[in-house]
Amino acid sequence: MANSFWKRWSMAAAGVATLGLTASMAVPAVSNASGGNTLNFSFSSNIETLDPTEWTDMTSMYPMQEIYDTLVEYDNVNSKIVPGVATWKVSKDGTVYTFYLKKGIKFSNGAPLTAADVIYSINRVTRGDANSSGAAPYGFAYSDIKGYSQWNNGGKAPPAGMKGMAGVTSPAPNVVQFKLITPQAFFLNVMALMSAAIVDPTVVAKYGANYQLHAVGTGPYKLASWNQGHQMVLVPNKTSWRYTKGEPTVVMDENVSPDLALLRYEQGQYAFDFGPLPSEVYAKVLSSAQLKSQYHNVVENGVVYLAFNTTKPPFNNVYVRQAVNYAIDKQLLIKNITNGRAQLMTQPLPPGIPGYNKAIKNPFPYDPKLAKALLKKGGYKGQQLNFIYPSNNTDHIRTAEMIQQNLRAIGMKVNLSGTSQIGNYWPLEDNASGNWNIAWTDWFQDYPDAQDFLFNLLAKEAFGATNVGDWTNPAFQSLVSQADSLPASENYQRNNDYSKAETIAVKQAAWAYLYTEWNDALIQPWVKPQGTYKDLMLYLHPVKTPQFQYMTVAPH
Amino acid sequence: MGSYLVRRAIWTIVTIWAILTVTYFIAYLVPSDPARLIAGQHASAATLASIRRALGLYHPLWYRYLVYANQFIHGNLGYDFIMRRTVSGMVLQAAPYTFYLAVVAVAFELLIGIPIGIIAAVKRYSFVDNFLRFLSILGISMPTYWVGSMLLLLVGFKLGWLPLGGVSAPGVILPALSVGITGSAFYARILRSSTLETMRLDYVRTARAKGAGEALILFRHTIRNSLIPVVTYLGLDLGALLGGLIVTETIFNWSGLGFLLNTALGQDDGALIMGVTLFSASAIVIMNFVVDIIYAFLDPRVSYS
Repeated sequence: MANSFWKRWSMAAAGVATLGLTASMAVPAVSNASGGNTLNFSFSSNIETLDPTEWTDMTSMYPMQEIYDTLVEYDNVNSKIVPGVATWKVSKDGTVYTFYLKKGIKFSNGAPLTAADVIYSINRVTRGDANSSGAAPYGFAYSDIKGYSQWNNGGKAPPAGMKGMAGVTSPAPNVVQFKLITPQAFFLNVMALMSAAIVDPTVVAKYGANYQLHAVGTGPYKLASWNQGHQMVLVPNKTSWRYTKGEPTVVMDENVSPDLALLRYEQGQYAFDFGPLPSEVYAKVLSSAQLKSQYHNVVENGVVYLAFNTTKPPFNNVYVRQAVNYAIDKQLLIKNITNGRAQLMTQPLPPGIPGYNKAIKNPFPYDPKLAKALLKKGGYKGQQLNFIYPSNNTDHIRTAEMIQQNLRAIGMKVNLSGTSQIGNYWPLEDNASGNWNIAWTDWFQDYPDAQDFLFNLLAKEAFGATNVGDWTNPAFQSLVSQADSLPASENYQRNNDYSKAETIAVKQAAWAYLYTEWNDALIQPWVKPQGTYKDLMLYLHPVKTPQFQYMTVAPH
Repeated sequence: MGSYLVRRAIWTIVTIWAILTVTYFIAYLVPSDPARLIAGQHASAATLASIRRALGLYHPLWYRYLVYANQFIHGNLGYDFIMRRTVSGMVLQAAPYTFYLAVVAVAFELLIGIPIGIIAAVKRYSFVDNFLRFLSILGISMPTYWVGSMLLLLVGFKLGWLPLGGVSAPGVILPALSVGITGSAFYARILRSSTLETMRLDYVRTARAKGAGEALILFRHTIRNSLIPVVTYLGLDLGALLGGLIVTETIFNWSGLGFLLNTALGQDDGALIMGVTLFSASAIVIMNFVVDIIYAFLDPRVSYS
């Protein structure tokens, strides 16, 4: 009897153990492979997509840049446009771009790259029904190509019988020609975006909606595995024209919190901790001599600013806008919020963008007295103002609170209203009826051209979308329109126009100018550049994501 | 019996419908625009309009609610345009991880809680008892996120014995242990008080009178009967753990339902928030239904009328 009693207890224990074991077998393993010639690192979010028609974000660009090629790309010296899979010629008037594909380029599945693939890829991303959620987020970047509006069909399926944009043709084998409706100096820049990545039509046709899990390109890497939301592994694509001997395997973990990522980095599991590093991580870097020696940074081509709702009082008045600019202690903001990892913003363009006007130096120094006087002059009557900001991050909350204090000091009544994140600023689309006055905003370049900032953020055409505050000014508008319509061969004149336009945007205080942030990263000393590339451009390029193919893992 | 079954089934369906309705409207009352989240900050007004049309966002809320409810009845949780995956795919991928963690965590709770409860009861009012009771108050009071972070830092980072978060077989130990340490305190306290009660009962005295050894009395007569409240609590506890351990899973990067929900909340992902909530809630409601039925079969005292 005692026997059966103990037997029952042990059977219960065995039952629990079996249950646990079964449960553990149900769990798919995520490989923790590291060591050897492998670079491991993580993202704090998930990799959204490998499909050019869905691409919007920086994180997805890490793998996409390695898997795909574009016709042209940026060099590693000063981010100038250079040939990718094609060389090019531009017509004198700047409206016809002819690309000559390099010979012998193959996709990772062995299929040769043809002109038809290039044409297919650009027609695919510009369709009104590019993916299951409608138009591709970046499809509009190609709207100056002849036939775009007919093909895109107002964001709906193309008209029956239409095969593609009339302006994209192949006049000879391995030649692709783009005809534009107007000169577009930054056309090569938009052709270097990930939305213009060249896909293999047969692979798209084969996998349809699941294409991105089987993405194939001509780039230096190919997709080995992707357990979505967990981990993506890229292995060298040996059929690539740009395959470099000794390319490391790349293992990217998704959704790893910054704290955990730093611990894994410190333990040596991770080769990098890519930024922009959150301020709490940077604080830890500062307190460790070892981490400090592995810390690197560059000034980002981006801006952080406050947009004003200029469609109604008080910010339809220039003096009130200037008052806010003088009232904010930007240096203190830079010191407290970014730990000094930013520089003062003096104009709409960041310093890395051609057209940046060096003559403009700190136009609005911290001066609460002057701000008060301007506020009075502008006729601000003490009305309650609504300040929208993204409250998904403590740095943003602290920024909003510091600005609120600064504005309160000059007698402005500011009510903070946090919205979860900046992608969610939909109340700003209809400014006249929208209940907001000030909005925290940032912008990171799509390409290093002044048009990406001055047109997208301040032109009339971008009202209700990227021109958040609907600010406009006739002289500014005509300078920007003029510069936008010039071909790339007139870049000197273009940048002159943009510089002049900048002066207006500053005088008119189109925004409250805050700062330009740094991009930074921790890089293990055992990650070495290989070949001719020696500098930081491999890891922290102003336009590109890191180029893993030119890196190697030294014994450590 | 048949009518009891039908009644319980109807209530289960009504409960799930109520959960669906409440979560749907809460998820969509939060100011959030899926089109903007999908298109990103750089999109043009025309692109936004195209996405809104494709997603049917121009339809009124009640219409979208009916569409969603119809999908749900057909077992479809919809497509998540932010994560670019089906919601059911993500939920089903995460659920086994949560199940695994929950089972191991409960095992730790029992492994730690039961011995402490027994020892405290046997050595009642002694120094050992006081000390163990102090420990259990400490355990209840310590927040899981603190215990979790400390374990991660000490065992994972400083000692390097176990993985620094992430999903793997050994990786389950630290998150399960941090739930186990804090959760075991409840079991210890329940078991201690129920054992103290059982020890005073007649049949224990009888066993002692017939000359059974103390160990046999304890394990055979006392504890088995004292475990009843523990088993009841275990059911509740497991149910709660299966709903996802948001904090623990997030700290340890354990990609279960709680981790998924945290990700969804962070990116205003209405479809995913809905999906995880509905899945967890439905799982619990359905489990309760099944338990009720089994109970009704096993226990003649449960009334069917």
